[in-house]
Amino acid sequence: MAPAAYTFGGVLGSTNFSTRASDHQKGTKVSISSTNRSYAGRVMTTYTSGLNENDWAFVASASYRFAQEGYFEGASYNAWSGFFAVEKRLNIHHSLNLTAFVASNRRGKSSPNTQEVYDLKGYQYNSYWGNQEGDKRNSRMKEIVEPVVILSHFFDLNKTSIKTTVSYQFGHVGNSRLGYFNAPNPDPTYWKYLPSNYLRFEDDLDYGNAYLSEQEFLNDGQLNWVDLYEVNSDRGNSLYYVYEDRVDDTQFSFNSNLNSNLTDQMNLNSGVSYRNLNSDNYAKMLDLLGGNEFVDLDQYSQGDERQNDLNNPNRAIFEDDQFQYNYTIQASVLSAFAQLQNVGKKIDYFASAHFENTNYQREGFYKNGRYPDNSLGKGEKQSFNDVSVKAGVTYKFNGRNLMSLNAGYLSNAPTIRNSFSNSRVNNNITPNLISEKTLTADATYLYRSPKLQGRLTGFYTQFSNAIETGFFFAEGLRGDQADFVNEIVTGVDKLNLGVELSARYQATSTINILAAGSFGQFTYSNNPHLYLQSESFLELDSDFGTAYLKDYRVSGTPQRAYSLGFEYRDPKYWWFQINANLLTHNYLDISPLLRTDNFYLDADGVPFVDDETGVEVTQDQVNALLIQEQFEDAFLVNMVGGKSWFMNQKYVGFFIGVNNVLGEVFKSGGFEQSRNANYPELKQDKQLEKPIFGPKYWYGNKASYYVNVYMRF
Amino acid sequence: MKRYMNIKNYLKIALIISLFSGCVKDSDFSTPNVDCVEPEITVTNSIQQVKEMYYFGGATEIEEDVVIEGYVVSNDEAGNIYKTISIQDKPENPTSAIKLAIDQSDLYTTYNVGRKIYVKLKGLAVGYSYGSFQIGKANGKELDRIPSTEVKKYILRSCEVAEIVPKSVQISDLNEDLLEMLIKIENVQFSNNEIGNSYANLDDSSTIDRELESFNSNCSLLGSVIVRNSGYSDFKNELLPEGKGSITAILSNYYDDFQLYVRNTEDLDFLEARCDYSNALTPTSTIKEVRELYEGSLFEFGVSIPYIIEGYVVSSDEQGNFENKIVIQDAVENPSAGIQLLVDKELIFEDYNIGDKVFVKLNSLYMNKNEGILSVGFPKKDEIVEINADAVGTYIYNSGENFKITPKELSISQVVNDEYESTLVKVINVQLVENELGSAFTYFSGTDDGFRILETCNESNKISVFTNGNALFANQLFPEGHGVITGVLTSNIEIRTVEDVEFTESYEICPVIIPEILITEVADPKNSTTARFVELYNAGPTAINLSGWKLNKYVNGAMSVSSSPVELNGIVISSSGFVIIANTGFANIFGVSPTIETTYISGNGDDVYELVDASGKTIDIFGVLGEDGNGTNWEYLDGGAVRNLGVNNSNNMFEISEWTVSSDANNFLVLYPNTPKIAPNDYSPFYR
Repeated sequence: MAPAAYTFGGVLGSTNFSTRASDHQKGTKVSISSTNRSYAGRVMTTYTSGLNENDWAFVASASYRFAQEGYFEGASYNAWSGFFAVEKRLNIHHSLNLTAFVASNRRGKSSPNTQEVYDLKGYQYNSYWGNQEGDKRNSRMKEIVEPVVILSHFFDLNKTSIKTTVSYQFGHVGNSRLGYFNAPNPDPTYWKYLPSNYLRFEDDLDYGNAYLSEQEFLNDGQLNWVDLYEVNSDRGNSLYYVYEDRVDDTQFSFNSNLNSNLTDQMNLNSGVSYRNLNSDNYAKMLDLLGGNEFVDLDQYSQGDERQNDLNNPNRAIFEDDQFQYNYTIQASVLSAFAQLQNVGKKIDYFASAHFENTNYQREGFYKNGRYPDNSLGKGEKQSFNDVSVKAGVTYKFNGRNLMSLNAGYLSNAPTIRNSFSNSRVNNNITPNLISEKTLTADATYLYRSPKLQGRLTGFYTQFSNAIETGFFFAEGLRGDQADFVNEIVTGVDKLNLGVELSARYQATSTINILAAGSFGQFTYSNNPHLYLQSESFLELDSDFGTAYLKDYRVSGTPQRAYSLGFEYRDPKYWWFQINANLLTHNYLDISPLLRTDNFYLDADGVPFVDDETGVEVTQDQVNALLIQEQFEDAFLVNMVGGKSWFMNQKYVGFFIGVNNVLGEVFKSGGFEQSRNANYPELKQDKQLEKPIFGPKYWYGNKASYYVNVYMRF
Repeated sequence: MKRYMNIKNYLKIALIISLFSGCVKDSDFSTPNVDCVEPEITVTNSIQQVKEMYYFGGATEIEEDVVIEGYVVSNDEAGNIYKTISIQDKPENPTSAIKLAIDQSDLYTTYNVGRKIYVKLKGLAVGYSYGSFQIGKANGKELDRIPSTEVKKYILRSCEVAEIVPKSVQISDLNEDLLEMLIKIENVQFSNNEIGNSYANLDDSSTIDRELESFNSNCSLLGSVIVRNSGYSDFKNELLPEGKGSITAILSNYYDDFQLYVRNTEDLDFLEARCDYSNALTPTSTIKEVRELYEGSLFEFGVSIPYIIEGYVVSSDEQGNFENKIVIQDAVENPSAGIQLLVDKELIFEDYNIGDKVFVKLNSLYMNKNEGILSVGFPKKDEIVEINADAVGTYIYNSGENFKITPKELSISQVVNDEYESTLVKVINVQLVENELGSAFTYFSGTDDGFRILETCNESNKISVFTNGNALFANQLFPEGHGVITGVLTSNIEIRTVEDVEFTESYEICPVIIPEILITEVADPKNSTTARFVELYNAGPTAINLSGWKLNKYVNGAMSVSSSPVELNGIVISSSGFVIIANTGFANIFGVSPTIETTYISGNGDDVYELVDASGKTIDIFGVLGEDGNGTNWEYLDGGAVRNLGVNNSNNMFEISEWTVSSDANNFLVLYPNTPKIAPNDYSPFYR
């Protein structure tokens, strides 16, 4: 945690990207890259004029990244961006800057898979694509096009500057996928199509079908687009279709910051900002795959509940139509902050406070058949007021030894996603909706000498009242019910504790040794409350009580990491660096639902009886089944090196990087499936040689390279 | 110039970018060509021939290149049909059809109704299960579904999609040859007790049978058939249509029972008015006439003579009594007969509730006594057992009319009468016997059945109240007051609900009855040994039930009872009433029947008679135990003994002073020696 100039900042600090044309270095830069990661190549160019004699400055930049097929099969990459900024300096005190940029990113996604699938098809397998007339077509594309226009005014006096910005952002984010209605699931990795499905009953092992399905999966194992077209064209109306979950955001924001040197040592930063977001969310029909129309119904309901919009029952949907769900979220955020910062001879200190008012409101445009009373029209407005404070002090023993202490109390309004429990179909608000609180402190010892620089930091961060949400299909609810549910966990507390050490030793003028280590423990620190919302669990039934998460590890990142690096920089403009990294204590994301009483209690509130012991399950048996998977340690060696030349007033250079030189196969992340939500179901699945609903994993890339050639003039 | 250079550079870069842009193809894919291509294949056999390839003993694998064709008639879109398709040989007037079992759902997406398909049978198998043929894949002797991965290998689609004309049939026409065809039956409606039901259960996913009745154009009932609905179907929560009309369905079966599977609710076109039952069923006999058919052994109603009775339901299993039985009687008030029907069915009251008028088609049912009660049901050896749940609706028709039943009011002494068996009665003026006060209907815990005894003060007759151990009120306290009880009479009385016990008055303490039953005359007529008799007299103020009582005889000074004493079961002796127990010639000589006729009454003047009650206690005695009467003061050889008129209390010790003894013997210890007595004139049975 540190003082920040343009905003209050979060736990991890703040980022501030300059769009001001005169801030950029004058010249032209062109680069071409090649890689085998998510994209295959990139071209990029930037022209910067610098401030000319008429006090104008321009920057123009364009880039293109592309891959017909990236690291994962069928994962295409197609992204371009343009950036344009112009600044006019009106006089020494005032200048105006206009920036416009657009980035279009369209890429094919890759699937997380169960271990069974990885074992059969390899670690680059992606179930989302299939061949269509000779091309690999990915059924799940992500597309982001969100242009921004920013107008800024800069006012500079000797000791005071004011920056005022007005910006407008528009565009959309779309995530496409294949829909199917009352028809076989087209996903080749659907559990019923895999060999494990036929081997799940110990007393009825169907080796014949297991073999057939394994052969089918090995030989094909991809989407079969032609079959889908055939079904649709046979019937006229589409049972298979490609649609996207679409978010059209328009955001207006206003921002004004004051920076004033009150004395030689004392500096004041303050600012006000206002943002207004209008977010339209709907499903959009992209491709009827050979059919003429699609009827807008919910295939998992019956009667009137099937209608996604009761005001337009049985509506015929054509390409580019909105369907399924359609609503808008209006959000506005008003905030103000002030910070005092003092730099002294022995002591630096700062103190900062921040106030924020956040408002959300949903308005539904469809009268959903399952929620006829609270889906259409405006919902209740949600309002949050948050006050955050932070302060820090640095004591300089001398120029080489410094010690700093920072502490803060932060309050953050819940995100839009977490505020509405099922925003696609109703106006319901997440239960116990309050702002997330963070209490954090860190202490750092800094050593700086010409040969050795080092830093040792200890940190403590307590997050409380966080909300986590998720959607999935679960079996074994309240005894033996099954449903597609929305899981809401409220009042989640997490504790991050740790120590970080980094050091850089300059052995010679050309050789540097780098060492870093991070030793953390990120855990859930309480037992939060879990709600499930779905068709069957309305109101009363939705409360699943306490989720026993305390002391489980938080997933998402290795909690311990060690790195040792060697860097050589030749005076003749070439250099290389080798890094060895050991990443440990990375954990599987746990399912909170499996850690509620529902897991071991039958519908009548009595614990399940274990099929082997014949008596009620014991705490030890439950615990044994719910042990959190710790991924194997990953040892990664990365190398990077480059050279540059200066000739004819031009810089020419290149660098080559190879990550994971040893080609280590490692799990980078994964999550437990919540499908088997109780003890008997999970136990049965786990006992299988190939669990059907085992965790889904992402694996890190094997060896990959990146080459970049650039020229500056 | 320099700026111009820059612009030129940009153009170059723009060109490079546009070249790359053309490379990534992630949209505008060309549409696959889905024009139908007719497969080139030759049909070798008919569906009927394939059925004939089956030989008994499990799945018959086809090893030759057999190819059949057929038209799809089933549709699993609505989920009522699961993992099968039914094909028939022609779109109209088919001659044969068969079912294919395929391990795949949503088959309609590929095999739509009317689609002509070819099935390459080599590698597949024909099986026969539950009475019908189907095609699948052999797994040893078993027939498995065709694996989803192999469906396209065996089944080819023609481009032809024909319009299927369902085959019109009558319910009586249903036969095996029609199985798996699309049939249509006109003039059908769901039976009365199905009205208000949904296709399947709202709260679970079990498969449910609904009974469909078929009529002729005059609304005469022709028969019924089951419509089978899956608990996974889309329409399972919809109400059954109430009208009458036509049904289109796939004919299926479970052994001999035919079942119809509709594909969706559009297969039921029930827009006409319903047929009324009173037209459909005309009773041929009364319940009383049916009861009279019973001659002590299993009676078969057969099929040749129609037996249809009408009746009104008086039982209800809503609270757990009347498990597996329906009791009906012939009138809503003052019935002349009732009868019980055994049914293997739960929640009977949902279909047949108290007061419902029902018709029972007795043909192919049986009748016999079950635990002493005349019952109708299915036969099992000589016994009557419950009618299968599935079949109940085909025998017992609910007219849909409901009446209020007025129970017959009886006093406790009238309850013994057989004519009230299986009718609803109201017994007045009753309460628990004293030692059962504080008891539950059964027991205060557990599920054992129980009986409670009711009495009326000063009445010897008692009735027991039966309660099923699973009844909702079984563990409740039995009401302790005094009042009336309504229930169905069998050997016990069985109530429908606790409200049937209306004990609104307070308990009466009954006066203790000391039975004063006396032996008042012992006769050994000189002219007839077979006219010997013993007279019992009730000197008390109330009638006494002598059940369990015995008359013992001790012969020639014996100390033990002569074998097979006379049991007085079932005999109620009224106040000042008599019981005559006599040898076989009594009736002839006296011109009146004795109460009991038995050769046990053989006392020839020196034998002792002893009256014992149900507990074995001696109540009264004539003669001295262990003493041979010859030459004693109580010798009654060829004479008799009469209890003196002033004696009105029984005495378990013999007192000669209470008796006047006459004998032909020359024994002066006797009051009247040498006085022979001649029947009938010298005796006075039934008189004192």
